[in-house]
Amino acid sequence: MEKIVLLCEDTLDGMLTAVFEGFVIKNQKEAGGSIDRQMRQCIEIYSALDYEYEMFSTCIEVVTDMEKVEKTVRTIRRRLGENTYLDVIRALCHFDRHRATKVFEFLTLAFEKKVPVAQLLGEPCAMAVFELARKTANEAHLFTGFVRFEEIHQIFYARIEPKCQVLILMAEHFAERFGNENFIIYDAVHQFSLVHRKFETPFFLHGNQMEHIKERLPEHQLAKQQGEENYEQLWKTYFDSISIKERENPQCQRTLIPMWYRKNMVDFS
Amino acid sequence: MNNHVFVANDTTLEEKLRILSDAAKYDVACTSSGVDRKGNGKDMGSAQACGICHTFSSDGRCISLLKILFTNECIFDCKYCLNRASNDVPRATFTPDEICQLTMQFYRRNYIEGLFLSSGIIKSPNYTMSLIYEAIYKLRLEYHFQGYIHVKGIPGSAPELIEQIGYLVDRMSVNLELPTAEGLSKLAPHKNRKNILAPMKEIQTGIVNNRRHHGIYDRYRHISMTDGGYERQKSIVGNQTDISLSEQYLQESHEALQERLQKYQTGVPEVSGKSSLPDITELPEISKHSLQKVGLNGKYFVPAGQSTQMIIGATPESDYHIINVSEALYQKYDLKRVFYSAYVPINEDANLPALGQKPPLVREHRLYQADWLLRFYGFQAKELLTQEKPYFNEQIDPKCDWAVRHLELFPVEINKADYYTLLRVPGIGVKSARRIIAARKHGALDFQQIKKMGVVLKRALYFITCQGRMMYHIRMEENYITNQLIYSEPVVPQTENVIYRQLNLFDFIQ
Repeated sequence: MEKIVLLCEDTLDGMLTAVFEGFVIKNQKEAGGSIDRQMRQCIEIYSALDYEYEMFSTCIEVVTDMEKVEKTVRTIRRRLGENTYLDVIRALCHFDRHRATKVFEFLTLAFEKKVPVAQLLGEPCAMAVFELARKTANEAHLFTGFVRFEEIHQIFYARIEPKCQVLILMAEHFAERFGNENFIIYDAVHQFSLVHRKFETPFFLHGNQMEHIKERLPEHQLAKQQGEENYEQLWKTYFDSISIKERENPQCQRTLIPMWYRKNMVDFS
Repeated sequence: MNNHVFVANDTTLEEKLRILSDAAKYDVACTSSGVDRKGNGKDMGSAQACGICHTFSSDGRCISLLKILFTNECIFDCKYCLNRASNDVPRATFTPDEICQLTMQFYRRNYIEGLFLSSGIIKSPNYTMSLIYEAIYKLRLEYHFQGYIHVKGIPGSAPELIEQIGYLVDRMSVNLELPTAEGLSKLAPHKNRKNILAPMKEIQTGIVNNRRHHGIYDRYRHISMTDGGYERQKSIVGNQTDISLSEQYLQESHEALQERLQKYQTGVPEVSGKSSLPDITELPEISKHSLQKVGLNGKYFVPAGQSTQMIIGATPESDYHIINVSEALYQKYDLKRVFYSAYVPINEDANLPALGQKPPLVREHRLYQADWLLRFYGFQAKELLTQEKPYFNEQIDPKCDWAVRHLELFPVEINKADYYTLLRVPGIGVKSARRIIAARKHGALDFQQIKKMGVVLKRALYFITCQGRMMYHIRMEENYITNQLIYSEPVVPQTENVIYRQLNLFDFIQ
């Protein structure tokens, strides 16, 4: 089937630019427009890394443009509301290949119908976006509890391996809670870190410099200051003693905290 | 730095932590929910109204707080307790500084949401409470901790102490332990009903007055603490105007339900008997007009509300008894939660179940489910259990049980029923009901769509229709549906308490 495929960067900004471009194409009304009307109905968005070229599709590269991103964000927020905007961002943080296309279809529908979004859940494309958003939000909520910091010379460092890009959703929570601390959370799967200095706004850092931070720091800085309590050991003691042996239920525990969450947690090491 | 001193402290602190968390683990209150507090920009800590679980222990319970006793020395001798005066266990006591250090360091590493502090009783309840007060004061005002704090009220402590502590903590609770005064006097002779109910009443009065002081009258809203004061948060059903948890709407829904039931039960008089539950009538009505303790300007008194705990299985009270006490507590004392703790035999005693007996986990589970029904689904205790049927069915949950006994009210049409009727369907919860009501404005819904919205069709399909049709052709017959529900989701696959009943011919006819 003839379709238009927009290829963008694999980041949130890239996808939002592509959504913008998609709407530009869709709304072209001139008869002399370069793109066929039928094709305009079928627009898909993929990240450039993931896409395998198909026959009968026109590919257009999209260059990330912050101005376009801001316009898109403003429009969504104003016309659909803050909650829908958050759901769109959550859906885009998921790892599904087709997420940008789903979001695009959903936005087309939402702008067309003048009803609040909660009423659209019956439609399949709205439900698809809602499911993505829900999965990401759940994972982010669990990670706010499962992130474990360790103190490396006045910096608190944590490492997580999430499936979705949850750092974007957790940044505000940690910045607020630990406003008077320096901390770094490193996302090993997406090679992405959240860096926060005391009393400053946090920022994101692409790249995997933080992966080997522990090897980089000189020995004397790393030593868990002698004489100080070993809080990791204390936590493990607490974790073991708090459980009631007569009620032991490893299956229940596995449902609540699946194995892949436990990789970077002190309690399970 | 003299290493020897610190090494000795190391083992001692770890040992203390092990003993005192081991002693605190039977207090099952574990939530960190109820308060929304943003970080204030210079101190550490915040609180989330939904609560955050930081890990799950090997018995499946959520760990979100550092749950410890201040000390496990105790002058009381409650028969069921590990730390009772006549048990020979290693005793330890924290210093306030140690508690603060532990809390802060665990919090910084994101191990916990906050502190849960209880205590055994040294010298007297008032002395113990003042020690606890000292520790909490230090934590809030010297260490500047803004996270979640939950403190246990000691039965028999003075109102002034309760008031002082209430302004520092997020939640305070007093354990009811046992639902009847006789049970309490048999198993915990040093505690009596009055000593437990008086602090609960104090806390309740304080909360009501403080809320009124800040302009909040609706008790269903979460408290959000911002710089300006309490901020009105959405109630649990959101902003939809056709769903409101107002008392009047719920009352109307109940009346409508009774009318429909009456139609089918012609000739059956309302079962009225004298109330054989003296303990409930003795709970005094809180005077909402007492303004003796007005909140200090700008301060919040126990913003996350009050909770309590009951032990299940140590004494022979029935589920009917327990759930009625819970309902009375929710209505009269405005508690946020009642916790149920399955009794784990530790001590040998003539009045207690034998050692080695398994804790009644299924019963505890059913009680929690019933508790949810009371709080969120608009059920009343008398609908769930009666004098004739005082125990919950172990095979199916209380909501399914109720639905199967009242098949005359089903099937319910998804596209037309109102909120409370939808909530009564097994498999439809609060979130699903809200989504259904919102989505059906746009177009009629079918089974696939509601399944995606979170309705558990495995249970709900016996009770609903979509656009007039049921999913499969179902025989609306009590035994048939009960069997289907049991075998589709076995909770207790092999149990000693299998309920046998006589087979009849109709079980075999399709």
